[in-house]
Amino acid sequence: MANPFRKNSEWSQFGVVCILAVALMVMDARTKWLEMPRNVLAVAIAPVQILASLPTAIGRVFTNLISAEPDIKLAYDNLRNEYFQLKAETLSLRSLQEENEDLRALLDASQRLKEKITLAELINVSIDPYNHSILVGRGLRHGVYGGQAVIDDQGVIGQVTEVMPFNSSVLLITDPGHALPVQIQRTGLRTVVYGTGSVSTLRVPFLNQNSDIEPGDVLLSSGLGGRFPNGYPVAIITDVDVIQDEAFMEVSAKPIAKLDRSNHVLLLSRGEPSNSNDLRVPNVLRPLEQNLSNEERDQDSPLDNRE
Amino acid sequence: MMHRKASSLNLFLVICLSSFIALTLTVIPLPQWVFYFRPDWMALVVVYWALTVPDRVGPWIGFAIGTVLEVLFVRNFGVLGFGMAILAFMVNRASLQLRVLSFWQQMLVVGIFVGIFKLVTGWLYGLIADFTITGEYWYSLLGSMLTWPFIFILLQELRRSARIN
Repeated sequence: MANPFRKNSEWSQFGVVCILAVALMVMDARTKWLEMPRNVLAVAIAPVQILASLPTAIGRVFTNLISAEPDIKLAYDNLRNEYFQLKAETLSLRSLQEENEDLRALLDASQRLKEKITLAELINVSIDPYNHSILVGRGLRHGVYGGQAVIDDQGVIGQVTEVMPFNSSVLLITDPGHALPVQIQRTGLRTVVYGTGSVSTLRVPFLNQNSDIEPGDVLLSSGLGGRFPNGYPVAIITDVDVIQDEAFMEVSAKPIAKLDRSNHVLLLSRGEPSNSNDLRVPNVLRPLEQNLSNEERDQDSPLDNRE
Repeated sequence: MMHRKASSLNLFLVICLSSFIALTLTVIPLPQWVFYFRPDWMALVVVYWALTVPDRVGPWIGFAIGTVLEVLFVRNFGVLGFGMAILAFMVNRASLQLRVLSFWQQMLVVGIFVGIFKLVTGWLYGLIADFTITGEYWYSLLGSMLTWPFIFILLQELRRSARIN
Protein backbone atom coordinates (compact mmCIF):
# COMPACT_ATOMS: atom_id res chain seq x y z
CA MET A 1 0.00 0.00 0.00
CA ALA A 2 1.19 3.51 -0.76
CA ASN A 3 2.14 5.50 2.26
CA PRO A 4 -0.28 8.45 2.05
CA PHE A 5 -3.12 6.10 1.30
CA ARG A 6 -2.30 3.98 4.33
CA LYS A 7 -2.33 6.96 6.61
CA ASN A 8 -5.74 7.85 5.32
CA SER A 9 -7.13 4.40 6.00
CA GLU A 10 -5.65 4.48 9.50
CA TRP A 11 -7.65 7.59 10.30
CA SER A 12 -10.83 6.23 8.78
CA GLN A 13 -10.45 2.99 10.74
CA PHE A 14 -10.01 4.97 13.91
CA GLY A 15 -13.11 6.97 13.06
CA VAL A 16 -15.15 3.81 12.53
CA VAL A 17 -14.03 2.41 15.88
CA CYS A 18 -14.94 5.66 17.63
CA ILE A 19 -18.41 5.70 16.09
CA LEU A 20 -18.89 2.06 17.07
CA ALA A 21 -17.84 2.82 20.65
CA VAL A 22 -20.22 5.75 20.95
CA ALA A 23 -23.03 3.63 19.48
CA LEU A 24 -22.31 0.95 22.10
CA MET A 25 -22.35 3.51 24.89
CA VAL A 26 -25.71 4.89 23.83
CA MET A 27 -27.15 1.43 23.27
CA ASP A 28 -26.01 0.22 26.69
CA ALA A 29 -27.34 3.31 28.41
CA ARG A 30 -30.74 3.32 26.71
CA THR A 31 -31.61 -0.30 25.90
CA LYS A 32 -31.23 -3.80 27.29
CA TRP A 33 -30.03 -5.37 24.03
CA LEU A 34 -26.49 -5.83 25.26
CA GLU A 35 -27.41 -8.04 28.22
CA MET A 36 -27.13 -11.22 26.16
CA PRO A 37 -23.69 -10.59 24.61
CA ARG A 38 -22.48 -9.45 28.01
CA ASN A 39 -23.63 -12.70 29.58
CA VAL A 40 -21.96 -14.78 26.87
CA LEU A 41 -18.69 -12.91 27.28
CA ALA A 42 -18.95 -13.16 31.05
CA VAL A 43 -19.05 -16.94 30.81
CA ALA A 44 -16.09 -16.86 28.43
CA ILE A 45 -13.92 -14.92 30.87
CA ALA A 46 -15.05 -16.82 33.97
CA PRO A 47 -11.62 -18.57 34.13
CA VAL A 48 -10.08 -15.18 34.84
CA GLN A 49 -12.22 -14.80 37.95
CA ILE A 50 -11.40 -18.31 39.09
CA LEU A 51 -7.69 -17.80 38.55
CA ALA A 52 -7.78 -14.47 40.37
CA SER A 53 -9.44 -15.97 43.43
CA LEU A 54 -6.94 -18.84 43.48
CA PRO A 55 -4.31 -17.17 45.71
CA THR A 56 -6.94 -16.44 48.37
CA ALA A 57 -8.27 -19.99 48.13
CA ILE A 58 -4.79 -21.51 48.38
CA GLY A 59 -4.01 -19.24 51.30
CA ARG A 60 -7.15 -20.46 53.04
CA VAL A 61 -6.20 -24.10 52.47
CA PHE A 62 -2.75 -23.49 53.94
CA THR A 63 -4.09 -21.69 56.99
CA ASN A 64 -6.43 -24.62 57.50
CA LEU A 65 -3.53 -27.06 57.20
CA ILE A 66 -1.28 -25.14 59.53
CA SER A 67 -3.81 -24.17 62.16
CA ALA A 68 -3.25 -26.29 65.23
CA GLU A 69 -5.72 -28.74 66.69
CA PRO A 70 -6.48 -26.73 69.85
CA ASP A 71 -7.67 -23.92 67.59
CA ILE A 72 -10.08 -26.23 65.86
CA LYS A 73 -11.27 -27.54 69.20
CA LEU A 74 -11.79 -23.99 70.39
CA ALA A 75 -13.63 -23.04 67.22
CA TYR A 76 -15.75 -26.15 67.54
CA ASP A 77 -16.66 -25.32 71.12
CA ASN A 78 -17.53 -21.77 70.18
CA LEU A 79 -19.69 -22.91 67.31
CA ARG A 80 -21.45 -25.47 69.49
CA ASN A 81 -22.18 -22.89 72.14
CA GLU A 82 -23.46 -20.53 69.51
CA TYR A 83 -25.55 -23.30 68.00
CA PHE A 84 -27.31 -24.08 71.25
CA GLN A 85 -27.83 -20.44 71.99
CA LEU A 86 -29.38 -19.87 68.58
CA LYS A 87 -31.44 -23.00 68.92
CA ALA A 88 -32.86 -21.74 72.19
CA GLU A 89 -33.63 -18.39 70.63
CA THR A 90 -35.38 -20.10 67.75
CA LEU A 91 -37.62 -21.92 70.19
CA SER A 92 -38.94 -18.72 71.59
CA LEU A 93 -39.10 -17.32 68.08
CA ARG A 94 -41.58 -19.99 67.04
CA SER A 95 -44.06 -19.03 69.74
CA LEU A 96 -43.48 -15.34 69.07
CA GLN A 97 -44.18 -15.89 65.41
CA GLU A 98 -47.44 -17.63 66.15
CA GLU A 99 -48.40 -14.90 68.54
CA ASN A 100 -47.51 -12.31 65.92
CA GLU A 101 -49.61 -14.05 63.31
CA ASP A 102 -52.57 -14.18 65.70
CA LEU A 103 -52.19 -10.51 66.49
CA ARG A 104 -51.96 -9.61 62.83
CA ALA A 105 -55.06 -11.66 62.16
CA LEU A 106 -56.83 -9.76 64.94
CA LEU A 107 -55.75 -6.48 63.40
CA ASP A 108 -56.80 -7.66 59.96
CA ALA A 109 -53.32 -6.80 58.69
CA SER A 110 -51.73 -8.72 55.83
CA GLN A 111 -49.36 -11.54 56.68
CA ARG A 112 -45.68 -10.92 56.73
CA LEU A 113 -43.89 -12.62 53.86
CA LYS A 114 -41.24 -15.13 54.64
CA GLU A 115 -38.05 -14.88 52.62
CA LYS A 116 -36.18 -17.72 51.03
CA ILE A 117 -32.46 -17.61 51.70
CA THR A 118 -29.67 -18.59 49.31
CA LEU A 119 -26.05 -18.72 50.41
CA ALA A 120 -23.51 -17.21 48.02
CA GLU A 121 -19.75 -16.98 48.08
CA LEU A 122 -17.90 -13.74 47.48
CA ILE A 123 -15.80 -13.69 44.32
CA ASN A 124 -14.54 -10.18 43.96
CA VAL A 125 -14.72 -6.93 45.89
CA SER A 126 -14.39 -3.52 44.30
CA ILE A 127 -14.15 -0.70 46.81
CA ASP A 128 -13.25 2.14 44.50
CA PRO A 129 -14.82 5.21 46.07
CA TYR A 130 -17.37 5.69 43.31
CA ASN A 131 -18.38 2.09 42.82
CA HIS A 132 -18.85 0.00 45.93
CA SER A 133 -19.83 -3.41 44.70
CA ILE A 134 -19.08 -7.06 45.23
CA LEU A 135 -19.34 -10.03 42.91
CA VAL A 136 -21.03 -13.13 44.32
CA GLY A 137 -20.97 -16.66 42.96
CA ARG A 138 -24.68 -17.09 42.25
CA GLY A 139 -26.38 -16.06 39.04
CA LEU A 140 -29.26 -16.67 36.68
CA ARG A 141 -28.71 -20.41 36.95
CA HIS A 142 -29.43 -20.26 40.67
CA GLY A 143 -32.52 -18.10 40.31
CA VAL A 144 -30.99 -14.78 41.29
CA TYR A 145 -32.90 -11.74 40.04
CA GLY A 146 -32.14 -8.03 39.87
CA GLY A 147 -33.12 -6.02 42.93
CA GLN A 148 -32.77 -8.94 45.30
CA ALA A 149 -31.76 -7.97 48.84
CA VAL A 150 -28.41 -9.23 50.12
CA ILE A 151 -27.54 -9.63 53.81
CA ASP A 152 -24.90 -11.31 55.93
CA ASP A 153 -25.24 -12.79 59.39
CA GLN A 154 -25.25 -9.30 60.95
CA GLY A 155 -27.23 -7.03 58.68
CA VAL A 156 -28.05 -5.66 55.26
CA ILE A 157 -25.22 -5.59 52.70
CA GLY A 158 -26.86 -4.32 49.53
CA GLN A 159 -28.89 -5.32 46.51
CA VAL A 160 -28.29 -7.27 43.31
CA THR A 161 -27.81 -4.92 40.37
CA GLU A 162 -26.55 -7.11 37.55
CA VAL A 163 -27.25 -10.81 37.04
CA MET A 164 -24.95 -12.93 34.89
CA PRO A 165 -25.25 -16.68 34.28
CA PHE A 166 -22.95 -17.80 37.08
CA ASN A 167 -22.42 -14.75 39.20
CA SER A 168 -24.03 -11.44 39.93
CA SER A 169 -22.87 -8.07 41.10
CA VAL A 170 -24.21 -6.55 44.31
CA LEU A 171 -24.29 -2.82 45.00
CA LEU A 172 -23.28 -2.16 48.61
CA ILE A 173 -25.34 0.14 50.83
CA THR A 174 -22.24 2.36 51.15
CA ASP A 175 -22.13 3.15 47.43
CA PRO A 176 -22.68 6.89 47.03
CA GLY A 177 -25.59 6.21 44.69
CA HIS A 178 -27.44 3.91 47.06
CA ALA A 179 -30.38 4.83 49.27
CA LEU A 180 -32.26 2.54 51.64
CA PRO A 181 -35.52 3.22 53.50
CA VAL A 182 -35.08 2.55 57.21
CA GLN A 183 -36.82 2.90 60.53
CA ILE A 184 -35.25 3.76 63.87
CA GLN A 185 -35.76 0.79 66.16
CA ARG A 186 -36.25 2.81 69.35
CA THR A 187 -38.75 5.36 68.07
CA GLY A 188 -40.13 3.94 64.84
CA LEU A 189 -39.16 7.12 62.99
CA ARG A 190 -38.90 6.47 59.26
CA THR A 191 -36.10 7.90 57.15
CA VAL A 192 -33.67 7.07 54.37
CA VAL A 193 -30.01 6.10 54.63
CA TYR A 194 -27.54 7.08 51.89
CA GLY A 195 -24.11 5.67 51.06
CA THR A 196 -21.08 7.94 51.20
CA GLY A 197 -18.33 6.12 49.32
CA SER A 198 -16.54 5.13 52.50
CA VAL A 199 -17.04 1.57 53.73
CA SER A 200 -17.59 2.57 57.33
CA THR A 201 -20.00 5.50 57.05
CA LEU A 202 -23.53 6.13 55.92
CA ARG A 203 -25.40 9.40 56.11
CA VAL A 204 -28.95 10.08 57.19
CA PRO A 205 -29.65 13.46 55.61
CA PHE A 206 -33.27 14.54 55.93
CA LEU A 207 -33.93 14.57 59.65
CA ASN A 208 -35.54 17.63 61.20
CA GLN A 209 -33.79 19.49 64.00
CA ASN A 210 -36.33 18.20 66.48
CA SER A 211 -36.18 14.52 65.48
CA ASP A 212 -35.68 12.11 68.32
CA ILE A 213 -32.43 10.42 67.41
CA GLU A 214 -29.21 9.81 69.31
CA PRO A 215 -25.91 7.96 68.86
CA GLY A 216 -26.36 4.25 69.42
CA ASP A 217 -29.80 4.05 67.84
CA VAL A 218 -30.22 1.05 65.56
CA LEU A 219 -31.67 1.50 62.08
CA LEU A 220 -33.74 -1.35 60.67
CA SER A 221 -34.86 -1.71 57.08
CA SER A 222 -38.44 -0.45 56.94
CA GLY A 223 -39.65 -2.50 53.99
CA LEU A 224 -40.96 0.57 52.22
CA GLY A 225 -40.25 0.60 48.52
CA GLY A 226 -40.53 -3.16 48.40
CA ARG A 227 -36.87 -3.88 47.69
CA PHE A 228 -35.70 -4.81 51.16
CA PRO A 229 -37.85 -6.86 53.53
CA ASN A 230 -38.51 -5.05 56.79
CA GLY A 231 -36.83 -5.62 60.12
CA TYR A 232 -33.24 -6.33 59.12
CA PRO A 233 -30.56 -4.34 60.94
CA VAL A 234 -28.81 -1.81 58.70
CA ALA A 235 -26.72 0.62 60.72
CA ILE A 236 -25.97 2.16 64.09
CA ILE A 237 -26.06 5.94 64.52
CA THR A 238 -22.59 7.19 65.37
CA ASP A 239 -22.87 10.96 65.21
CA VAL A 240 -25.65 13.49 65.54
CA ASP A 241 -24.70 17.09 64.81
CA VAL A 242 -27.16 19.92 65.19
CA ILE A 243 -26.01 22.89 63.16
CA GLN A 244 -27.62 26.24 63.89
CA ASP A 245 -29.73 27.77 61.13
CA GLU A 246 -29.74 24.58 59.10
CA ALA A 247 -33.03 22.88 58.30
CA PHE A 248 -31.72 19.36 58.87
CA MET A 249 -29.40 17.65 61.29
CA GLU A 250 -26.15 16.10 60.17
CA VAL A 251 -26.40 12.46 61.14
CA SER A 252 -23.92 9.73 60.27
CA ALA A 253 -24.17 6.01 60.87
CA LYS A 254 -22.00 2.92 60.71
CA PRO A 255 -23.15 -0.17 58.78
CA ILE A 256 -23.76 -3.22 60.97
CA ALA A 257 -22.98 -5.83 58.30
CA LYS A 258 -19.35 -6.77 57.70
CA LEU A 259 -19.32 -5.16 54.27
CA ASP A 260 -15.65 -5.66 53.50
CA ARG A 261 -14.93 -8.68 55.65
CA SER A 262 -17.49 -11.43 55.13
CA ASN A 263 -16.73 -14.35 52.82
CA HIS A 264 -20.31 -15.46 52.41
CA VAL A 265 -23.48 -13.51 51.91
CA LEU A 266 -27.16 -14.46 51.93
CA LEU A 267 -29.54 -13.61 49.11
CA LEU A 268 -33.13 -13.10 50.20
CA SER A 269 -35.84 -13.95 47.74
CA ARG A 270 -39.51 -13.35 48.20
CA GLY A 271 -41.79 -16.28 48.84
CA GLU A 272 -43.42 -18.26 46.06
CA PRO A 273 -45.50 -16.04 43.80
CA SER A 274 -48.69 -18.13 44.02
CA ASN A 275 -48.84 -17.74 47.79
CA SER A 276 -47.65 -14.18 47.88
CA ASN A 277 -50.48 -13.22 45.55
CA ASP A 278 -52.88 -14.47 48.19
CA LEU A 279 -51.12 -12.41 50.79
CA ARG A 280 -51.03 -9.24 48.78
CA VAL A 281 -54.78 -8.77 49.01
CA PRO A 282 -55.11 -5.08 49.80
CA ASN A 283 -56.72 -4.15 53.08
CA VAL A 284 -59.52 -2.42 51.20
CA LEU A 285 -60.87 -5.81 50.18
CA ARG A 286 -61.03 -7.11 53.74
CA PRO A 287 -64.63 -6.02 54.41
CA LEU A 288 -65.67 -7.94 51.30
CA GLU A 289 -64.02 -11.02 52.66
CA GLN A 290 -66.12 -10.88 55.76
CA ASN A 291 -69.06 -11.77 53.59
CA LEU A 292 -67.41 -15.01 52.68
CA SER A 293 -68.39 -18.01 54.68
CA ASN A 294 -66.21 -18.98 57.61
CA GLU A 295 -65.34 -22.27 56.00
CA GLU A 296 -63.63 -20.61 53.11
CA ARG A 297 -61.54 -18.44 55.35
CA ASP A 298 -60.49 -21.48 57.32
CA GLN A 299 -59.33 -23.10 54.14
CA ASP A 300 -57.32 -20.06 53.20
CA SER A 301 -55.52 -19.50 56.44
CA PRO A 302 -53.61 -22.79 56.71
CA LEU A 303 -52.20 -22.06 53.28
CA ASP A 304 -50.90 -18.75 54.51
CA ASN A 305 -49.37 -20.26 57.57
CA ARG A 306 -47.57 -22.90 55.65
CA GLU A 307 -45.84 -20.38 53.46
CA MET B 1 3.16 -15.64 2.50
CA MET B 2 3.07 -18.81 4.57
CA HIS B 3 5.42 -17.32 7.11
CA ARG B 4 3.24 -14.23 7.46
CA LYS B 5 0.17 -16.36 8.16
CA ALA B 6 1.86 -18.38 10.89
CA SER B 7 3.08 -15.16 12.41
CA SER B 8 -0.49 -13.75 12.51
CA LEU B 9 -1.74 -16.80 14.33
CA ASN B 10 1.15 -16.53 16.75
CA LEU B 11 0.40 -12.87 17.26
CA PHE B 12 -3.24 -13.66 17.99
CA LEU B 13 -2.33 -16.35 20.52
CA VAL B 14 0.28 -14.19 22.20
CA ILE B 15 -2.12 -11.25 22.49
CA CYS B 16 -4.75 -13.56 23.98
CA LEU B 17 -2.25 -14.96 26.46
CA SER B 18 -0.95 -11.57 27.56
CA SER B 19 -4.48 -10.17 27.85
CA PHE B 20 -5.57 -13.14 29.91
CA ILE B 21 -2.70 -12.64 32.33
CA ALA B 22 -3.36 -8.90 32.46
CA LEU B 23 -7.08 -9.47 33.13
CA THR B 24 -6.26 -11.82 35.97
CA LEU B 25 -3.84 -9.30 37.44
CA THR B 26 -6.57 -6.65 37.14
CA VAL B 27 -9.06 -8.49 39.34
CA ILE B 28 -6.66 -10.21 41.73
CA PRO B 29 -7.35 -9.02 45.29
CA LEU B 30 -4.73 -6.62 46.64
CA PRO B 31 -4.17 -5.24 50.13
CA GLN B 32 -5.74 -1.86 50.82
CA TRP B 33 -2.55 0.21 50.76
CA VAL B 34 -1.57 -0.74 47.20
CA PHE B 35 -5.14 -0.71 45.96
CA TYR B 36 -4.99 2.70 44.33
CA PHE B 37 -1.54 2.08 42.89
CA ARG B 38 -2.62 -1.01 40.96
CA PRO B 39 -1.22 -0.49 37.45
CA ASP B 40 -3.59 -0.45 34.47
CA TRP B 41 -2.31 -3.81 33.25
CA MET B 42 -4.60 -4.00 30.26
CA ALA B 43 -3.65 -0.51 29.06
CA LEU B 44 0.04 -1.39 29.32
CA VAL B 45 -0.44 -4.56 27.29
CA VAL B 46 -2.29 -2.60 24.61
CA VAL B 47 0.50 0.02 24.58
CA TYR B 48 3.13 -2.67 24.14
CA TRP B 49 1.47 -4.38 21.19
CA ALA B 50 0.50 -1.14 19.52
CA LEU B 51 4.10 -0.01 19.91
CA THR B 52 5.89 -3.10 18.62
CA VAL B 53 3.47 -4.31 15.91
CA PRO B 54 1.80 -1.04 14.90
CA ASP B 55 0.74 -2.27 11.48
CA ARG B 56 -1.37 -5.09 12.92
CA VAL B 57 -2.44 -4.00 16.40
CA GLY B 58 -4.48 -0.83 16.23
CA PRO B 59 -7.76 0.71 17.42
CA TRP B 60 -9.78 -2.42 16.59
CA ILE B 61 -7.85 -4.72 18.89
CA GLY B 62 -7.75 -2.00 21.53
CA PHE B 63 -11.51 -1.70 21.29
CA ALA B 64 -11.99 -5.47 21.62
CA ILE B 65 -9.74 -5.65 24.68
CA GLY B 66 -11.48 -2.70 26.28
CA THR B 67 -14.87 -4.36 25.76
CA VAL B 68 -13.70 -7.55 27.44
CA LEU B 69 -12.48 -5.43 30.34
CA GLU B 70 -15.93 -3.86 30.62
CA VAL B 71 -17.51 -7.29 30.91
CA LEU B 72 -15.08 -8.11 33.69
CA PHE B 73 -15.80 -4.87 35.55
CA VAL B 74 -19.56 -5.01 34.87
CA ARG B 75 -19.61 -1.41 33.67
CA ASN B 76 -21.20 0.51 30.81
CA PHE B 77 -20.21 -0.84 27.42
CA GLY B 78 -18.20 1.29 25.05
CA VAL B 79 -16.27 3.58 27.36
CA LEU B 80 -13.15 1.52 27.96
CA GLY B 81 -13.29 0.26 24.37
CA PHE B 82 -13.23 3.87 23.20
CA GLY B 83 -10.37 4.73 25.54
CA MET B 84 -8.33 1.71 24.50
CA ALA B 85 -8.92 2.50 20.82
CA ILE B 86 -7.63 6.04 21.35
CA LEU B 87 -4.67 4.70 23.31
CA ALA B 88 -3.76 2.19 20.59
CA PHE B 89 -4.15 4.82 17.90
CA MET B 90 -1.94 7.34 19.69
CA VAL B 91 0.76 4.76 20.32
CA ASN B 92 0.53 3.60 16.68
CA ARG B 93 1.14 7.13 15.44
CA ALA B 94 4.04 7.69 17.81
CA SER B 95 5.50 4.19 17.59
CA LEU B 96 8.54 5.12 15.49
CA GLN B 97 9.51 7.97 17.80
CA LEU B 98 8.74 5.95 20.94
CA ARG B 99 11.04 3.11 19.96
CA VAL B 100 14.16 5.25 19.86
CA LEU B 101 13.58 6.81 23.28
CA SER B 102 15.56 5.73 26.33
CA PHE B 103 13.93 3.67 29.06
CA TRP B 104 13.21 6.65 31.26
CA GLN B 105 11.80 8.78 28.49
CA GLN B 106 9.66 5.87 27.32
CA MET B 107 8.32 5.43 30.84
CA LEU B 108 7.31 9.07 30.95
CA VAL B 109 5.63 9.05 27.54
CA VAL B 110 3.77 5.82 28.34
CA GLY B 111 2.63 7.51 31.54
CA ILE B 112 1.30 10.45 29.53
CA PHE B 113 -0.53 8.16 27.09
CA VAL B 114 -2.10 6.08 29.85
CA GLY B 115 -2.97 9.36 31.57
CA ILE B 116 -4.84 10.55 28.49
CA PHE B 117 -6.62 7.18 28.41
CA LYS B 118 -7.67 7.57 32.04
CA LEU B 119 -8.74 11.16 31.51
CA VAL B 120 -10.94 10.29 28.53
CA THR B 121 -12.56 7.29 30.23
CA GLY B 122 -12.99 9.26 33.46
CA TRP B 123 -14.79 12.03 31.59
CA LEU B 124 -17.03 9.58 29.78
CA TYR B 125 -17.92 7.80 33.02
CA GLY B 126 -18.71 11.21 34.44
CA LEU B 127 -21.11 11.79 31.56
CA ILE B 128 -22.74 8.36 31.66
CA ALA B 129 -22.57 7.24 35.28
CA ASP B 130 -22.08 8.86 38.66
CA PHE B 131 -18.36 9.42 38.61
CA THR B 132 -15.97 12.23 39.44
CA ILE B 133 -12.22 12.10 39.02
CA THR B 134 -10.48 12.31 42.39
CA GLY B 135 -6.83 12.48 43.40
CA GLU B 136 -6.71 8.76 44.08
CA TYR B 137 -7.80 8.11 40.50
CA TRP B 138 -4.36 9.17 39.27
CA TYR B 139 -2.30 7.06 41.69
CA SER B 140 -2.51 4.07 39.37
CA LEU B 141 -0.57 6.12 36.81
CA LEU B 142 2.49 5.91 39.05
CA GLY B 143 2.03 2.14 39.32
CA SER B 144 1.68 1.86 35.55
CA MET B 145 4.79 3.90 34.87
CA LEU B 146 6.86 1.93 37.38
CA THR B 147 5.76 -1.45 36.01
CA TRP B 148 6.14 -0.46 32.35
CA PRO B 149 9.85 -1.45 32.00
CA PHE B 150 9.18 -4.89 33.47
CA ILE B 151 6.18 -5.48 31.25
CA PHE B 152 8.19 -4.30 28.26
CA ILE B 153 11.00 -6.76 28.97
CA LEU B 154 8.64 -9.66 29.70
CA LEU B 155 6.52 -9.12 26.59
CA GLN B 156 9.66 -8.61 24.50
CA GLU B 157 10.76 -12.10 25.57
CA LEU B 158 7.31 -13.47 24.76
CA ARG B 159 7.30 -11.80 21.37
CA ARG B 160 10.78 -13.14 20.51
CA SER B 161 9.87 -16.69 21.48
CA ALA B 162 6.71 -16.45 19.36
CA ARG B 163 8.83 -15.11 16.44
CA ILE B 164 6.70 -12.05 15.77
CA ASN B 165 8.25 -9.06 14.13
